[in-house]
Amino acid sequence: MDRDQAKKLLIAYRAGLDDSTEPGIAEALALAKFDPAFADWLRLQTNFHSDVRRCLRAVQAPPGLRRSIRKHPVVVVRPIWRRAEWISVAAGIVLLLSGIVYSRLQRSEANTLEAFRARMIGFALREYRMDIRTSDLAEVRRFLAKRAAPNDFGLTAGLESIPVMGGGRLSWRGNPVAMVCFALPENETAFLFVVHRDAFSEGTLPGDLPEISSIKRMTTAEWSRGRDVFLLAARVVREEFRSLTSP
Amino acid sequence: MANLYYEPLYRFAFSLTRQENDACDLTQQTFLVWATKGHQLKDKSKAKSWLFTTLHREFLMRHRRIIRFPQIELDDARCEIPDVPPATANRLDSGAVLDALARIDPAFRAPVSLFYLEDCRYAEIAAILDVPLGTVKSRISRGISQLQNLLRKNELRSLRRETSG
Repeated sequence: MDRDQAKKLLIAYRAGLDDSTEPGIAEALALAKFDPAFADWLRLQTNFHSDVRRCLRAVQAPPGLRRSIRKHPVVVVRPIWRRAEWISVAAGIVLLLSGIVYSRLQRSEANTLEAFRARMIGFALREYRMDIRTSDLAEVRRFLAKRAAPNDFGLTAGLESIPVMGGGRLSWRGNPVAMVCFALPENETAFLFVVHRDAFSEGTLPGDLPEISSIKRMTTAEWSRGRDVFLLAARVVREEFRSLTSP
Repeated sequence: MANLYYEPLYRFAFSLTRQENDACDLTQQTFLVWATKGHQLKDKSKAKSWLFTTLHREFLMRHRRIIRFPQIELDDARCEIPDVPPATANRLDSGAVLDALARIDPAFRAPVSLFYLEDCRYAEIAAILDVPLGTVKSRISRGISQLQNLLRKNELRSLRRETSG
């Protein structure tokens, strides 16, 4: 390495700050040990850096600058949708609208047997879920009793003769509804829904004898016994269905 | 944050603008940006670099100097290094140095200022200015070389004046 190459490498070298072990730098620094003229140049260069550093750092910030930075509080303008108060208001509006919609929906569905039937058939037609799967009816009753749903209801002779699959506890307008599922031939299911009669405040209730009808793709039967109202629904033809409702 | 960095930031701004008002504006603007966006910085140890970067960006934006400077590696730099550095032994004064700094190539001014003002390491300067390390080294070397040549000329001019006077 000659002197010019060494100067090029060390012109911006700061002793104690820059890496003296970097390739080239170490070699250039070593040259200063054997070349007095180059060592002199390096010394003057170091002095020059000190002088320039001193001169530039002598610049003083105007006395009022710090005060003006601190004095003017910065108002952080956030987009309206990111402001906490707006988020609260928006959440409140959503809750209010949800409440209104829910209340309207509740009100639109009268406390009638027809409304109960429509809701339960809809449930049976959609993907339903049994809370308990068992072939033991007593176990289903215990499950329902624990959840304050009708559980001591009597079954028709037809239903007693077919296997139980399980059951569940539903709710209709705040009233507990018991559901018992029975296995029918060809993988069909019969759904028995039982609700207390005081769940109905409007319309007429069915009599003691099952009244058979068809809704959508299902055959249904409704009857009352004591304080309970029964709704049986299955996807079978009426003749077959009639055997389920025989007393 | 303001107490800690307003002076170094002001000095950097002043070295770039040479105007007190502009330097004050840049410094204030930097803290305004900090107040609105500083919370996005996860590593608070990088606050200093962040502030200098922001100030430099503001400077570039204001002066519409978004020029793609050619990135020259150190080996390619053809800088003329004076045989003897200009006046030493405390003969340099701030005004002369700042004047000379204002006259060097604008691409070299910011790296040279950071080199002297903050004793920043090369890697830190590269990060602040968002340029490759090799480019920063090249710009600093060439900037110092230009600075020395300008100060040397000033020195000779002053000597001539003294002699003729």
